[in-house]
Parts: sequence; C-alpha cells; structure tokens
Amino acid sequence: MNPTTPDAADPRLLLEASRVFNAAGPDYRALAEIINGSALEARDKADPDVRRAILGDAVALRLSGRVPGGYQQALDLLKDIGDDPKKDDPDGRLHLLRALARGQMYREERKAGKSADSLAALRVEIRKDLAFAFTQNNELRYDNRRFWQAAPAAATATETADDLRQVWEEDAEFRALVALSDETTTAAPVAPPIPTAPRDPAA
Amino acid sequence: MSVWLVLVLLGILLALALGVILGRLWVPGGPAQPNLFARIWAALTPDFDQFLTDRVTAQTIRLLVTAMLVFGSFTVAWALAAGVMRTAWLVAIKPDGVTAGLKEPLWQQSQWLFAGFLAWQMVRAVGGVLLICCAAGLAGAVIGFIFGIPRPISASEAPPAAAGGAVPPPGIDHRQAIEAWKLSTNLTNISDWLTTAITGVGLVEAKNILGGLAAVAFAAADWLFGSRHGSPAVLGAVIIGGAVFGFLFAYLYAELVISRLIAAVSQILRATPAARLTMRNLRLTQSLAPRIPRTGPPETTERPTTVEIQAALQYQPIQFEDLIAQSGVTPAEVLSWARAKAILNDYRAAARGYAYLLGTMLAPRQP
Repeated sequence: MNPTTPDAADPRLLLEASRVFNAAGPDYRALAEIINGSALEARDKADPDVRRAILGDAVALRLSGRVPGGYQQALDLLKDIGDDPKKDDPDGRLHLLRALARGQMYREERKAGKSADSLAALRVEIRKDLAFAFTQNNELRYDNRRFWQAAPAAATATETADDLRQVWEEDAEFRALVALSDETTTAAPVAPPIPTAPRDPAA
Repeated sequence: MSVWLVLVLLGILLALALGVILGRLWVPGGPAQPNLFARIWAALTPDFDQFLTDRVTAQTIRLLVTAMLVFGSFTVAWALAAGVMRTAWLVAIKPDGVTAGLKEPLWQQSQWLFAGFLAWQMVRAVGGVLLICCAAGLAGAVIGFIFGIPRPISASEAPPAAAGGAVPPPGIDHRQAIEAWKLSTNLTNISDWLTTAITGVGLVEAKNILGGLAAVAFAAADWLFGSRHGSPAVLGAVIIGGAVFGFLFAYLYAELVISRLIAAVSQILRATPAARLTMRNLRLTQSLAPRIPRTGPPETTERPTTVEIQAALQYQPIQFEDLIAQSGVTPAEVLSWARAKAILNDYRAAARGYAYLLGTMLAPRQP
C-alpha cells in the first residue's frame, strides 16, 4: 500500500479495518463481516502473510456462524493450504481452523449415519491437521482445549466451542495427540479442568 | 393604601433581596455546592497539592466574577438609594420641582402617583447606572479580548532543532514541515496591530483619556442625577470599574479559555510529521487489532513498539470531529488517526475512523 494514499481495494487495509471493526464491539460486528468479505475478494493481491490472515478470519467467521456457509465453505477456502512448515502456515492457525471445520463436519456426518470408514478417514485428517498446527506452535495445544473438552464457563450462551468434542470422545489417538504432558492419554472422556492461565493464543 | 405602606413593602422587598444575596454569600453550604463565601475563600487560597490547570482556571474566572458581582451589587444599591434621594429632591425643590403649580404636596394629591413616580425614579437610576457600567465593561472587554488573543509561534520564532526544537523526519524539509499547515492568523494580526496602536496611543494620550473619562462621568451624572448625591464620583468609579472588570474578564477568558479552544482545534496539527510518518509506515499489519477468533473474545497478538506507541499518543487528544473538521484532511491522515486509536486500544474510535475512510473512498465521485 502506498503510505500516502490509502486504497479501498488494498487487502491489507481491509484486513486492518475488519479486525478493528470486530474489536470495536457488537455495533460494528456486521461491518467487520462485510469488510472481511471485501478483503477475501481482494486477497490475491496481498502478500502471503496478509492472505493467510484474511483467510483465517474468513474461516473463523464461517465456523462461528457469523457468516453463512459453515464448515463447507470454510473447507473450500482452506482446500489449497499446503503442508510446508516453513512457508504455508507458520503459526499453525489455518491448520487448526481446518481441523475445527472437519470436526464440525465429523459431527454432522456422524449424525447423518455415514460409514465408519468415512468417519475414520476424517479423524485421520483431523489428527494430521492438528499435529501440523502443534508442530508449528505448541501453545495451540493449551489454548484451544475448549474445542475438544467441554468447558461451560468458557463458552457463552450463544457460542459453542465444541467442534472437536465428538472426535475427542471417540478417538483415543486424538486424545493422545491433544493431551498435555501431565495427562493420562487413555483417560475416559471426562473433561478435566481447562487451564485458566491465558497464554499467547494464535488460533 | 397609604404611601407609607408602599414604601414599607418596597423596603421589605429590598431587605429580602439583600437577605438572599447575603445568604448566598455567608450561609454555609454543603461540600457538593459550597456557598459563595467558601468559593471566594477557595479562590484566595489555592490548593497547591492538587494544582490542576483546569481548577486554577476556574478559580481565577470565579474570583473575578465574584468581584464583579460584589461591584455590581454595590452599584445597584447606590443607584436605588440615589433614585430615592432624587425623588425626594424633585418633590421638595421649589419652585421648579415636580410639585410646581400644585396646591398640595404630591403625596397628598395621589399616593399612587407618588409611589409610581418613586418606583420610576429608582428604575431609571438603576437602569441608567447599569447601562453605563455595561457600556464601560463592553469597551474594556473589546480591548481585553484584543490583548488576550493567543498568538501561535511562527516558523521564524520556532527553536532550531539544535536548541531542542522539532526535528522533521528524513525526507521532509523543515520549512515544508512547518508550512504543511497554517491556522488563520487574520484575527491575530489585527490583534497585534491594535495592541500596539492602543498601547502607543494610550501612553501618549493618557492625560486626555483621563480628562475624557471625567467629562463622560460628569455628563452622565448631570443627565441622570443633576450631578447630585455624589453621582459624578460614583459614575466615574462605575465607568472605570466596569472597564477594568470588562478588560480583565475578556483578557482572562481569551487567554485561559479561547486559547485552549484554538489549541484544541489545532490538535490535529500537533502530531509531528515524524509521528504521522510512523503511523503511515506502521510495521504492524495483521496485529494492529486482534484476530477474529472462532469463538470468544478477540485474540491478542503482536504488540506495538515503543516508538509506535509514542507516535500514537500524539493522536490521543485529537477527537474524530476535530479531525474531519479540518479543511483538506487527507485519507492518509484519517488512516493514521485510526491506526493510532487502534494502537491505543480505543477500537470504537478507530472503527469510526476506518468507517469514515472506507466510506469516503468507496463513495461514488460526483460529476
């Protein structure tokens, strides 16, 4: 962006604006979603890190239901992310978000009575994404436990954060993957207390 | 109704008015609303432990207003008394007074006529004296305002960088940095010329001015009171007092209040070119505001540097309305302002800036 003349089509400016609107409170939420949509359309002109940030915000908006499309659109947006740890997703955010999207998909497919093989394949993909994300940033393991372990106090009445809860309950390998160092990995699916000390979140 | 009854009623009304004034002056009030006496005392004894500019400004103005009220009260009291005395003189004077040609004294002819005549004389006296006082005050206020208009430091007077002056950022010429903005100085220039002229003429013509003042006081005293009841001295004091109070009030008001307003309006210009450059070339891109999360509150990310925070702080006192009220404010300036607000975690203000910026940039151009 030319520093002297801001451009309304500049994806970096649109990313900035959408995040500021989002942080400004409920009055500006709708504007945040609209401007994120504009940023998404202009993302091809952006640098890789800005593109990743726009993508991550867009996926988060769809997974949280603030923007329609749900996990299907989220997975569409994330279908091209690579697995090169050095250049594709340095902080693991996009892989974590894809795991969450697949977690929502897993829940829906299980409800629809999909085959065990298809569900198992999905669980493998989820574990792969999470493993990549944790490799990039191990703090994600601590900061995102609300997505697989029930934490009533952490979720508001209107927001649910249990995208990977079903997987956690049914997949011992998943529990082993997300377990903290001091936890028993084969424990029964009873939610242990979530650490309350805030870390540096990145998802 | 006896005329004496009317006079007694007038006396009671006057006593009530005085009682209210004295009550406001001396009766203790609560801590939330201290009485006038407490306020005068507070103004006379500033609390230097909590020395705040706003508080001292308010105290100064309040002290002056209190003195003006006291002066005005004494003036009105004298005018009322002078009105009564003039009535008595007009009634008593022979053979050219108001009773000339009457077979009986005025109060025996008609008590109501006499009471009305008395009231009219009192109103005439108070109105006339207050009018003279206000006119003198206005004249003093005009001069005080001219003397008190704040003057911005011009480029030639600005201290050089070596002496601690502002250093323009690399790539920006010092002259350009200073001339990049300019407040209207028309009023300031007029104030300069008039201040010089008034001071010069005043020193040369001091004797004549005093003579003129005395002539005005004598003329007013003659017209209002026939130069009786000490009116030449009192009206001279009223003219001088009114002018001095008007001058002081306008001067202090211009210095303490109007200068702040002018400074507030020019706050947009206070952000140094270096700060503006820092905001435009902000290192933070994605983490200016927290990420949009899947759930929960916005996530914190990278923090701004000290330099960026210092640059942002220069925008802190600038209000959005002041920003966009500036003629020729550029989108880049609005963006810098919004980024500064975001760095300072004032996301609601920042959102206003971004909304304005995007709105103006996306608005269809008028043909």
